[in-house]
Amino acid sequence: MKRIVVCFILMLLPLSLWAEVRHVQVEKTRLLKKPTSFSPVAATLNYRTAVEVVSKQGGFYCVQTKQGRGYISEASLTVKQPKFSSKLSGEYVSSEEVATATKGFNAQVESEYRKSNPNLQYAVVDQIESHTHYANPQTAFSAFRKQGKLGEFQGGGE
Amino acid sequence: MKIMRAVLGVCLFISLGLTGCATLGKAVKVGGQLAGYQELESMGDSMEKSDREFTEEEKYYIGRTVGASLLADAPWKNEAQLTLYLNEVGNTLAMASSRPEMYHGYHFAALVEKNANAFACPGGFLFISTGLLGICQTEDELAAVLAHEIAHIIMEHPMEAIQASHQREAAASLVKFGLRKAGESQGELQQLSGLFDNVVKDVVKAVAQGYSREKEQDADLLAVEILCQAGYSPKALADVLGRMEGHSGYHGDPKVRAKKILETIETKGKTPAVYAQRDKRFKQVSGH
Repeated sequence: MKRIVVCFILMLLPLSLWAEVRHVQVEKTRLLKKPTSFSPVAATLNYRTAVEVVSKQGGFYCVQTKQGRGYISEASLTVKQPKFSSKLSGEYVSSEEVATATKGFNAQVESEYRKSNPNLQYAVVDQIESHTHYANPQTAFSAFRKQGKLGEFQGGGE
Repeated sequence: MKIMRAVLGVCLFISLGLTGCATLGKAVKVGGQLAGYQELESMGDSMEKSDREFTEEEKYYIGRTVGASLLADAPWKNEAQLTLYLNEVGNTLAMASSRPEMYHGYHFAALVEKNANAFACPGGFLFISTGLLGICQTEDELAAVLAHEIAHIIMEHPMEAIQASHQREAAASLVKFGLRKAGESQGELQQLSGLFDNVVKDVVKAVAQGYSREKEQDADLLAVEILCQAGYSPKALADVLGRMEGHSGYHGDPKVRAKKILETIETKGKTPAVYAQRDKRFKQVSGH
């Protein structure tokens, strides 16, 4: 009986020491000043960055980061730290981490798949991506939203 | 004694799991190892494999390939002004949704295809056919179509289309390969490519053929929310569906879907109104 009690204490112990940590699971995420996507951006955080959760407001976490406190969309964070990106651009990683990064559906698997599927239009996908990649849609489309009374600029209803 | 060791092992690993260090499958597996129970270890192994979900990066690569497949059948309408406009409308909607960011961002593009259709691929690649663009008469209607597709992505409908057997097979192999060191298996990449093929084909089929009536309705209702949050009139979704009858490509009975949408809007009270300035720019781009 004593042992069962000890087991449950061990199980609950981490809860008391728990500083809730999340990791960025998108290539870049915006650290926002307010808990809305149309809020001004305080900083940009990279893939895998760890943040400490302070609280939750709607679909946003209030988080503490090295760049200060702000809000990040719940969907852009994950509990488990993602593996290194298979692109590994500009990142210093050990050979073991490189090995880990190659496990999964990634750039290497796509490259292998392309060899046996030459009819697929990857070149066009690359072209579309390069034409439609916006580092910060919040600022890139601000004038568009303002002109159309959308997002943070919306007015009356019906 | 053995049982106590197993319970202790499972408890310890569940407690670590609460801090994000392990999964229940791993907990059971380690518990089994500690106790020397092979059955428990093997059960944990199976659970661990089924715990493995596709990461956001993997969904992005699946989405790229699904997009490359769609583009093999219908070419990209490569017009700078139209592409920019689709991305302005699309990103405004995405930002208003519960999924404002994707792994590598959202990408909206038009396909030269006379059938009225739109496609949502994992990873945030969204396509609208020129046939469907031709049916849209206002920016709000275009937004309604894109909001519906964004809703499919948020609700993971394309990924849910992967057959359970393919999902299990891929998850088990990805876990197995993940435990190996690089170069340990020369044929690993070819095997992964084969698994990737199964997954991609399931998603392409679903994206091209459409989803069940229930999933289409769920996407309609979430689209209404997204449109309201962004500032577009949600009635535009019912309007564009009302004009879909007789057009091949779109899924479900448009009249039934439009009716349900209008009923939902009625319960919401005040919703955003149409705005003339938006229609002006829509006409400039679409030439309607």
